[in-house]
Amino acid sequence: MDRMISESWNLPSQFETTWNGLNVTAEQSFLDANWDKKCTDQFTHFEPVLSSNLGFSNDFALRELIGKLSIVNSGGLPATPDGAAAAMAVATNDDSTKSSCYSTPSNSSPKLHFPILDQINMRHLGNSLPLTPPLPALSCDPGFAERAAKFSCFGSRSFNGRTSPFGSINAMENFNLNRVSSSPSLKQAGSPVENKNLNQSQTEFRSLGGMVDKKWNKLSGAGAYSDEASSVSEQIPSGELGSKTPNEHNSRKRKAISKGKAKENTSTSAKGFEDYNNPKTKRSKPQEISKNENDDVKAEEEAKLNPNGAEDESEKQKENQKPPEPPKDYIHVRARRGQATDSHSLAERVRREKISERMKFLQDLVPGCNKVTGKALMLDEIINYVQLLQHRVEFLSMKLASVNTRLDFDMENLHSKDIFQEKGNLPQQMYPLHSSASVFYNHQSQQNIQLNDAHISRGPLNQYSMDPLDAHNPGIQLSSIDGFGESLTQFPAFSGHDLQSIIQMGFDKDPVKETAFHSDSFHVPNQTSHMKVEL
Amino acid sequence: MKARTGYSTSLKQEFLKKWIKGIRIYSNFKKDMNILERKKAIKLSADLAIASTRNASTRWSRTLTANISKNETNKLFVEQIFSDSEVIKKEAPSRLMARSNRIASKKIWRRSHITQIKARKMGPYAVKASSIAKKLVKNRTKVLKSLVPGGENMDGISLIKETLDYIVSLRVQVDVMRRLASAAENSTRLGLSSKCSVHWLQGIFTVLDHWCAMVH
Repeated sequence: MDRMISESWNLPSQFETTWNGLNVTAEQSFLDANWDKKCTDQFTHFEPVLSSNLGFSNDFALRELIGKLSIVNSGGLPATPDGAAAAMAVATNDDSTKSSCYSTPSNSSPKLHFPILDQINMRHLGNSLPLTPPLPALSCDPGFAERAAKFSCFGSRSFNGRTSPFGSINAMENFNLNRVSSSPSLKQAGSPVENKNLNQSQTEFRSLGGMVDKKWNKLSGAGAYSDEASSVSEQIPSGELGSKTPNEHNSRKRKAISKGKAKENTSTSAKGFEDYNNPKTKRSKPQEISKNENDDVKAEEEAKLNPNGAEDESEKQKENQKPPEPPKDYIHVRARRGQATDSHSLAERVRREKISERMKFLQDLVPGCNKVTGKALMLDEIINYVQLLQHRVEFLSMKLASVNTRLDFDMENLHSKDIFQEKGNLPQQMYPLHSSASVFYNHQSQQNIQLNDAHISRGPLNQYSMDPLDAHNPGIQLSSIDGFGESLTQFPAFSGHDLQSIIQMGFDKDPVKETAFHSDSFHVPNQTSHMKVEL
Repeated sequence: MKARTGYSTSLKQEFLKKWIKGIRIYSNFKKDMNILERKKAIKLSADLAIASTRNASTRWSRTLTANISKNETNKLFVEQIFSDSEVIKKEAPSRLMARSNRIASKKIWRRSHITQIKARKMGPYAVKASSIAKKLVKNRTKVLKSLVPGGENMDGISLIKETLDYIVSLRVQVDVMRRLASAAENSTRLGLSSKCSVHWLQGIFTVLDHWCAMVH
């Protein structure tokens, strides 16, 4: 199959005419195709057909294609293959083919032919403009229109590529734009699928545009047998194009080809296909297959060699949204100039780059990491931050546990803004744990942590004689007194037992946590004991 | 940025819901908890909730739930909460073993050969400097591995990824808890009704429910 396809690419002229004809008719006539998902599904039926057929000579391939199409779809839409066949027959201007075309379809609807012919006559080959309003005759045949729309996708790509000067990116860009914008039907149904395919095929197209290497042909040819129907169609004309155009876009092509390959689940990894797993991280711009690495490192390349970053970046982002790629066996990395090329250093470089990539993400997350450079320092910051967050969780859970000993909240008095009032009272930084804890409890009581620490051993009664709570807010005091009174009756052993357990817990833990617990744990029993005193 | 905040808000809501559920179940299990037990209940439910938001797709979440379930008393609690999805706990050990073996053998090879290779490439002094730097990084990664649950057997790359995810989840946890705590404080400051709660959790539940209503 591969060989056949590559050979077929050596017959450009015939192929070109037929494809042009096909394209013209497709574009003109089949604009109103409704691209529902069915169309994609239908096309997947054709995919093996297509791939097998393209091994033959071009005219023949087309005819076979049409024939098979008609056969496959003969059940549903008898009229449609006629139109397609007629169109193509007209385009090829081959009487013999006409007969063969017409022989295959089951029915014939002559009235379909004329509008098509008219359309064809009106257009000229150099037309790469957006499609015109649909033909009324064709609107009765949605299936036909679908297939034809697929054909237009099929043909116009190659067509456009060919009209523009070889390898000029601009043409391809235009083509891309036209492609995307010109067919509103494309956008309607299944458009996300289509657009995705478009993007894929765009990259593939560009990538394959410069190919001369037989190996690459084989790759793309093999790639034609992927699951993606439209990518199949794209690759065939683009591959054909590649055989003609010079190697103008090697770099871009290679990037794209590896991306294209990434999408296709090729099993021929032995030949040197690149796959990518883990769409979350950015995929690197692939390099030429300089060597095969036999260590099955399931890694992604992060080396950004290629200066043409922008477009591929965006496409990579799009691709990153897709479901994860199948795991790959080989990484293909190109050695940079002046660097060692043995496999281990390459693998190491890949690994290093991945790590640095992820460190960049971490830099965004961890505050204050921007100024820090170097792995060790960054790791330091990260460790500190994780520890900080973990301690905060502990602290907050303790606080919430203590909060709940207070009274029930009257729902009517709760306003949303109060609930969503931001953590004005809570400190942001908890590095100085003592001071933070004191700030935290500040608006309730203005005790210092030192007080807590100092007096806890002496017993709870002493410090509360001058309790700043009185001065601060009598309302709270009253309510909390009530609350604590109630809670005390419920949990008679609250203060004593809790106090003991808290102190013990504080001493059991490691020093860092211990400080945290000292500060908040001491406060709580103080409150209860305070309440006790008041009562 | 907008997408990010949207994502984290939904994450917060999910966490909050699960957290409330956890607390409720725990309080049904055990009545009359003292403050420490309450704190433990709160923290446990919070950890379980935040781990379950990941649906066992990350190593740290799996390890966290596994560690919590190791304790017999917690096991029932856990099972009650997550009657639906958390069967994946079992999966972790087997993969861990294979992975750790592979990583261990790789490390052995590297340790034995890496200095040779480096000495060949660069001068002897350069080797020393880079090895010092490597040691520093190594120590820190060790510490990080001890911090992140389940980080022991991971290699550097996935460790950083897990850390990323873990940091995000921790932030969500802290944020929600803090808001709740401040809301509780604010409501007490308003001097609400003198009726007292029968159960220590009712207070927090009312706040939580109210907040959920606001959020949704």
